[in-house]
Amino acid sequence: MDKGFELIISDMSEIEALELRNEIEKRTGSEFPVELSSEPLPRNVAGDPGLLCALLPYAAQAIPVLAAALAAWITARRKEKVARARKLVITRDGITYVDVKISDLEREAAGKPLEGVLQRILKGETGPDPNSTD
Amino acid sequence: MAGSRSWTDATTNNVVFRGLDAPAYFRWLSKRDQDDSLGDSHLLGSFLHEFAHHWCNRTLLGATLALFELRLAVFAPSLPDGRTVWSRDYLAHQSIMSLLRPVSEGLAQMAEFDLTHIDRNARTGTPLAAATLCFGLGADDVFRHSMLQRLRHSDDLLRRKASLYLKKFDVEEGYLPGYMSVKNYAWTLIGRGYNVPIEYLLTYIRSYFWDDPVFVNILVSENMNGAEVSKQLFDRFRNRMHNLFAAPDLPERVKAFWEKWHWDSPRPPAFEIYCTDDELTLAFNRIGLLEHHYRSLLHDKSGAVESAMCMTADAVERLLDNIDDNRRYVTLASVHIRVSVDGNFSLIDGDGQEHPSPELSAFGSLAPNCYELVAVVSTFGSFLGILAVDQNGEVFALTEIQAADSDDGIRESTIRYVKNRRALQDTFDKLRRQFDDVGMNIIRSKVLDTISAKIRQTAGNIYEIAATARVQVDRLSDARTTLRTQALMPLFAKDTVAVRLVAGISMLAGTDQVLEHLTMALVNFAQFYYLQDFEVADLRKRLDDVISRDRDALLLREVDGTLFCFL
Repeated sequence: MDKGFELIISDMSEIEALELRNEIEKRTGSEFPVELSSEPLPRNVAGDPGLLCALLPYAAQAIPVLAAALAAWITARRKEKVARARKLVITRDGITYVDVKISDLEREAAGKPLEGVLQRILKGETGPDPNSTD
Repeated sequence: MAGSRSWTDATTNNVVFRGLDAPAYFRWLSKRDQDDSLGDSHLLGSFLHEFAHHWCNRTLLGATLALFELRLAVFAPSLPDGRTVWSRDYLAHQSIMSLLRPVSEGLAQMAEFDLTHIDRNARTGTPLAAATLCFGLGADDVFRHSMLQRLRHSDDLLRRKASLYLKKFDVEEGYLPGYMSVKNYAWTLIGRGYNVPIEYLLTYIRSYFWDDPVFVNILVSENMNGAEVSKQLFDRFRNRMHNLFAAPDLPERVKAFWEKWHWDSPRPPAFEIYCTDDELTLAFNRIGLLEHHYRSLLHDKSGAVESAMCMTADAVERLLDNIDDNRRYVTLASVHIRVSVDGNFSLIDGDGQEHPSPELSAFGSLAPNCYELVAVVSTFGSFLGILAVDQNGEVFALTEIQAADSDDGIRESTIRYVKNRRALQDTFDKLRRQFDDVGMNIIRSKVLDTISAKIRQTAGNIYEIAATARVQVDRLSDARTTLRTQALMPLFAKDTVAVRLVAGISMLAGTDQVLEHLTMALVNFAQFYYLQDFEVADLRKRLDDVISRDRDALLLREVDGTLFCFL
């Protein structure tokens, strides 16, 4: 059976994770599984709440919807100027296919251009866009 | 350890801050007399949070727990014949840590989200005073007010507060149960007609729990039955928690405590925290006995300890002194510098590149060499010291900035702290790993596992009670079930704008007292500061929806146009 990819987004807060989930569910009309985890603190160490890592498994047919949701979410975050090295990673069977900084994606034009880039990323493709006119 | 999170170690009391631009901080510090801008407010929330943990650890109970962990880490792997004692100590330590973790997180988040300036001048001894020393331009209320306003108006803090509302009600991490409980302590005082300043409340709660001599007297006792000791600690904690909600004279005791408490005195005012001087004296004596026992056991069993620890008994004994020094200070920032033969200062970045930084010479002159430059603040914010460590570990005190009402400064213990802090943390991390690998196998039993699981469950029950202290009796069962299973999520129905709105309102209601909790003023200001893409009418509608879902007023209640934001 063909195993789908997994999308991992690092350094998210709970509110940002819920905003992403809402963006996806707005487009799919159903609940989308998002697994959140945080870096554990050792015993006898207290700390600030820290940031989360979101893990979203997805099948190939979900890519257009997921790309649109991610594009909307990234565009909304761009205004907030979040000063963190947040990353977007695509893996399958433990192998990393794509590892990009979200700040790099924020430089793409909002809407269809960003969605196009994200679709390629979600397919596990890297390198220049073959359809780009640049 | 915990790469993206700031943290505080309960035993070494080391604090690691993530996110401070240390070179920029030193540049700002070197010319803050000529500058009119505040320090890097990006770290301020995190600073207040971690500093509150560090401040709580520097107490009677904090010192006892540090010694407990050190004893366990050293003796459990070395002296397996004492497993009954080490199991008892482990359970006692686990019990009190599980009970206090949520309160500790509650205080830390209250420091971040709710602190306001109160007196005309900062009072040394509190996290706010330390923050003023490290990030403000002066101790008077103008600077403190603008520093806190800038913090509370920041998107970063809004995200942190909004994310708190979305956390699980989990006592192991403690954030939401602790914050709800500590906020309820404040509301119970307000309900009795005392609008307690948050700085008073934090100082009081810190001593009420962490200077409680009875906890120490239970921990250090002749009772070797771990389950019984654990139960005594739970009973004591439950009674202390209940007392905060029920004691009729609490407002008077909080006020009197603030008048009498002085950061430089090791003995807190006993009566004001519902204790006696005799209990305090006994606790100090018992800590002395525990320390004496640690040292004498180390000498008597030095061969077994050295063999198990791969350290000399002298080195193990020195750990106690190093921990004692270490628990008094926090390193706020550190950079690597080089001083050239002609006296020019350069910063060395992570790639080894040098950047001329003549402003750093303002801290004092240094012989040509490479150094680590550190900014160190004392636990009670009495001074901020700038020191340099050369490659041989020699420490040079350069300059110090004193708090307005303090003549404290760099001491021998500061020098020793700067010299030893990294090695101490490394050693302690190693001891913890060794305890997990060897010591735990010695003390582990089915009974211990059963009691450990019960500790978490019972702590959860106590915090459910505290978090729902304002809920009507006939609604309690439902409210607690919802909290346990869904936390505050149902109140927002996934509306993230509403989450941000309520978070913004809660921070404005605390900081901008001029708004006087008028609902529309708070909505307008929240829109201005945080949610400019949304219409006020839309935000008002979202707020109304949250209020209508919040039947138990866990978050909000509106009465005649006045909004009470409880969290």
